[in-house]
Amino acid sequence: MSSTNTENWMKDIGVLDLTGVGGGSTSAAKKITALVVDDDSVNQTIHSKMLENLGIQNQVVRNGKEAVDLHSSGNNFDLILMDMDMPVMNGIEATRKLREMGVRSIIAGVSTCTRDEREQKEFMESGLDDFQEKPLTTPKLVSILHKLNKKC
Amino acid sequence: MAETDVRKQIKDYVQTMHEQGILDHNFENVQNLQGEENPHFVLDIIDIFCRDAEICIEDMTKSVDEPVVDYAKVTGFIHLLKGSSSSVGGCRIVLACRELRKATESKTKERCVEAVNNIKREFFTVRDNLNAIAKMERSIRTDDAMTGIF
Repeated sequence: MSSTNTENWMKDIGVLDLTGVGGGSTSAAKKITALVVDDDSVNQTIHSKMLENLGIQNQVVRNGKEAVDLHSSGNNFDLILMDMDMPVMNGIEATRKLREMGVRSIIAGVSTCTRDEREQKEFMESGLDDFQEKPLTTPKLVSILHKLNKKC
Repeated sequence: MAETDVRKQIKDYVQTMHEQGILDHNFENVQNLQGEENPHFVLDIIDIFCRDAEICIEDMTKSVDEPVVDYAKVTGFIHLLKGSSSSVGGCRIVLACRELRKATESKTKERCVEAVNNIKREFFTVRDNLNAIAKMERSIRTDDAMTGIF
């Protein structure tokens, strides 16, 4: 994605306006940070690249425990993309723990469609701000980022 | 062969895959993430997907072949394979995974074994086609490298 397209996306979601800096260059914009929490390498790579193309600095971890540990050691992120089914600690438990720790990031659940509505409800109630069905696409990601813009 | 010709070949090939229902539009989402700064992105994703899916299916096969099937474990593999397959456009693998999910819910070993065999068939089809696309992508990279030499 060209830098012009990236700027257009960021203007579209209001990111470039957050600092009130004129000119609208991406280098002057508030640097949004994100954390990708997913045990699958394909999705880690795709989600990270999508964020990068939107000018969003991001890190990747493999499960909910690594996400919690990262926050325990003082890291924080504007946005967390949280998979549901992961080994060690799943997305439901991780989201609950992060909210108990006082993490106020936008946490968006990203998971494959599950017919188990109870499970999806449990995921939302653990503290998600949004839920998107996999596969994640750039338009879905932009709709999540609109929530970030509203929160700021 | 000029890059534009190979790009057209890839586009036509992907279109054929759509028409045959082997890949859906999510594969193009992967292609759209590739740029000048990451010219190997599609190749990397194909490599990662094929490698990880093969391991996942092997583990799935071992699990359903156990005398007593751990259906929760199989469900974990289903989520993994379904997630990655949907991201690369492997819609038929996704459908096959749903069938396995139904089989695990019915807790019927024979149904699970049959469903895993179906997943394998669908995966082999997708893998072969993705590898054909990867070969075309590599030919562009090889041409770029040769241009750099001369």
